[in-house]
Amino acid sequence: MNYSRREFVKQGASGLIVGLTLRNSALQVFAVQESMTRGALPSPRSVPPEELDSWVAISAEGKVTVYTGRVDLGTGVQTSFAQVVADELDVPFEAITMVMGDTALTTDGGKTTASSNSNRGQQPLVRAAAEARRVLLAQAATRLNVPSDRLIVQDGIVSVQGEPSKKISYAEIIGNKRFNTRLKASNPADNRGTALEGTAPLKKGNFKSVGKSIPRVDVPGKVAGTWPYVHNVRIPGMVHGRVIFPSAPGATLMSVDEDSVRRVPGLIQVVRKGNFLGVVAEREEQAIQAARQLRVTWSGGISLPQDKYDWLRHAKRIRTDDTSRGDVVAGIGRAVKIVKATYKTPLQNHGMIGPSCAVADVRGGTATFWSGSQWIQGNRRDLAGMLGLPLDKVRGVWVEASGSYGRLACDDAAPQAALLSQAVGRPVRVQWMRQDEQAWAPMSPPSVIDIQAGLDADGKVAAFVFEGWSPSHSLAESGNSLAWRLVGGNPGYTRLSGGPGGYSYEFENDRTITHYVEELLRAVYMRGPGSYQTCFAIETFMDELATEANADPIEFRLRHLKDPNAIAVIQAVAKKTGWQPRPSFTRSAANRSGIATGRGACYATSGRKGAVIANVEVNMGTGKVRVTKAVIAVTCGRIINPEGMRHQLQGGLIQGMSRSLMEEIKYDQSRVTDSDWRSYPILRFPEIPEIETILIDQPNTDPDGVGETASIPTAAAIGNAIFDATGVRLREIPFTPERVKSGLRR
Amino acid sequence: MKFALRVNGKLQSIDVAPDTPLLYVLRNDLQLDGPKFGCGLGQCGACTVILQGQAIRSCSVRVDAVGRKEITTLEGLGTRGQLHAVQEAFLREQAAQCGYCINGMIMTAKAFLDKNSNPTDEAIRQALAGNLCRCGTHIEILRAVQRAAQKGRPA
Ligand code: FES
Ligand code: FES
Repeated sequence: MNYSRREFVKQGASGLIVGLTLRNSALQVFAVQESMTRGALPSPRSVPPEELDSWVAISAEGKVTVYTGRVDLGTGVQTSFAQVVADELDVPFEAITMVMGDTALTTDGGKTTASSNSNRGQQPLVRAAAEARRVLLAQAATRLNVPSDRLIVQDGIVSVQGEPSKKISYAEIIGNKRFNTRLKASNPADNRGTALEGTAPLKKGNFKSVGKSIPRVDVPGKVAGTWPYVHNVRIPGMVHGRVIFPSAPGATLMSVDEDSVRRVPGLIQVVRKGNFLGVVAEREEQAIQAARQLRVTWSGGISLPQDKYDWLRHAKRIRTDDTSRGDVVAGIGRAVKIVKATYKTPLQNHGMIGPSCAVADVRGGTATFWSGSQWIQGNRRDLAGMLGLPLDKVRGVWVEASGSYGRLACDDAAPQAALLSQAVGRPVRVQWMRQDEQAWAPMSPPSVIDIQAGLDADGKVAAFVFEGWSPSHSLAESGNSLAWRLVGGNPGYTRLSGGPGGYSYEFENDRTITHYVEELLRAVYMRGPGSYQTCFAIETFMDELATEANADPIEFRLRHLKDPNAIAVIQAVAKKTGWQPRPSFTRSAANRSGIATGRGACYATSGRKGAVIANVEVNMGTGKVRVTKAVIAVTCGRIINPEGMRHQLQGGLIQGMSRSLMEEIKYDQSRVTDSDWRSYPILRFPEIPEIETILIDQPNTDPDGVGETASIPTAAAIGNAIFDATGVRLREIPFTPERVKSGLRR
Repeated sequence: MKFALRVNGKLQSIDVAPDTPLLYVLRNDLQLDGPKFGCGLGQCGACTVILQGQAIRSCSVRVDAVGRKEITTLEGLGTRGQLHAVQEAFLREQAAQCGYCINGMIMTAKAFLDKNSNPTDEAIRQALAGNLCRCGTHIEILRAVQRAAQKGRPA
């Protein structure tokens, strides 16, 4: 173990933090504070995941510190992780503190994305906790001189069954000492510890914390204004930077007129490196003024296609995946009806309420950065590569940002702050302006999907052919930051992701073709990447097929499903809403005020199963759609924190609704033209529907995350409800009043 | 230029350019982290503080326009040990995911409830219509404001 970490663990565990009143969140706060005063201590290349001490430490007071490279994006995993570890270790929930995402202190952990914290993020913590418990019991057996199968544990106290006076606490056994135990990595190449194995079996029941709606540890600080956000990080000597973005992506910086900012008070330096341009000033408003006032000429830039969906079909292909089941040609041949449709999903912005922000301190051949990154290790590699520093000279400290939903898989602010700090030799804080976040954040890429199917004489799908075109959803991940691109780096990062999310329908014959095409604008996954787009297409299409088969849309889906979880969620929402079977749409004339009502169903899978029924009101005059109610049912394994999960589902639904009803990034020949919340509006309070959530617990299945499961099915549920209300079929997101109106005119 | 501001019951002197947005003074000079920068354009509400009873957007108010009016930030409302009723209601309803918007929600709700002791659900939605939340915490926030309203209501 590296010096700084060992010392940190010692300090953390030995109760230096006891004076702080922040209970569970204390150590995270402490870790951040420690990093702010100590900065660039030598950081190990990586904290070894196969060492038990890398995951758990127990203090002399019995406090348990748990380390993970995963981070909390405002979803509450800091709390749910602690619940799971508390139960596995048999200690009270209150005894646990979490340290997250510090490259000097925590294992790699991988990316906090794809709702994966509750499975891949949590798995090694459970393993480590079980292993720690086993080691503690073995030592207790020796100390108490009884066989370990006679021992029981409660609240961190080991006692002998039937002889309650014979006992010893975890703190007495190991307080402030190391376990010195090695875990086994089932995949040695996996340096993130996501595939750890231990000898201790995992608990399957008798949970004390798991399954309870324990209040989140971060909420008290958040309502009081004391919670540490990356936006609040202050380092002694810190100054403020702002970045001047190019006139368009791909533009070349021709000239900078430094005279134009000579009179800006507090200006420290104009920093130029390749096409990267920034200013540093003593005060934040001075940096803003300098960035606005600096006269710059750019030339060139990319040219953007007028019709992005047409462009997708002809864009350069990176890879095509083509898989089939059965024989689609025969299936189509046997069909009595052929149905075809095309679905379009636009570019969308993650819309962090607090724009990108980070602080970096690059001095004397070392770098420390504070970032809200969803992948602090990825950002660290990116930063080290860009600055030309060895990895062990760079420390990344995660501090919570504004909710980022995928956007901070690549924190762009940290590398920018690093370039500025390197130039001025002082710690620099960079925060993006609203227009920067709207126009320059990597975005959810567009997609176009064609589906063709044949219905047989029994009204079943005889063949199903899916063909989609989209840029990868991963190209702007860490390893590919904007700053690195602008200074001329060529990270060559090419991970392809965001293909079809899959479906559980058991079609006899089907074929799925996915074309990953070149980048249009910088892209990174956003809640349900690929799945949101695919589910919209498939689930709208299933509705269209049901209409063609003159069948009830729910009954039609069930015809093609065998997966019991899929059936369970669909039946649960149908029952809850009192769904009356009938084909969609039946011309139910609008009421007197010109409002037509409808209902729509959608089923979604992203590993976890979810189903949504939405009710809408459509104003036949204005085309405006209002979602009045949404009911969602999900299965996602064992539920750790029911209230937390409900909040995730509601949040996912509302965000998905906003994307589906109103969100599309607009651009001109060469650049994004959105600059604020007026040009890129999102859903507001008056439009929030009533939401009901149905959680189907699966106590014997390992837990899984749900943040995406609610976002994915919203688009089709709403679109199908609009069809049910009006007979207008919308095949392009968002469902704007203009699109509804133009459908009504047809 | 030197200014004296009354913030959370204390007189604070600062030396900044007169057109500095109040938000930067609160955050950077007075280290009050409750108010947040969201847009700097008056469009999102993250920076809300209460200026003599009115919820205002501190990103869009120049420091020289404040005068001696009393400014209350989230920190001035209550502390972790002693939360204000509105903060308490947000805690009870667990009305925060990332929590970045929550300062604005609490401050806007507080100023609103001070003038409307018995609001309808619709009125609360309208009062918060200018406050954006991207995590979709709206339902918990609405519940929290209703809870705070009920607590404040004379029985
Ligand atoms: S930051 Fe002031 S309204 Fe958005
Ligand atoms: S809780 Fe994250 S923006 Fe509102």
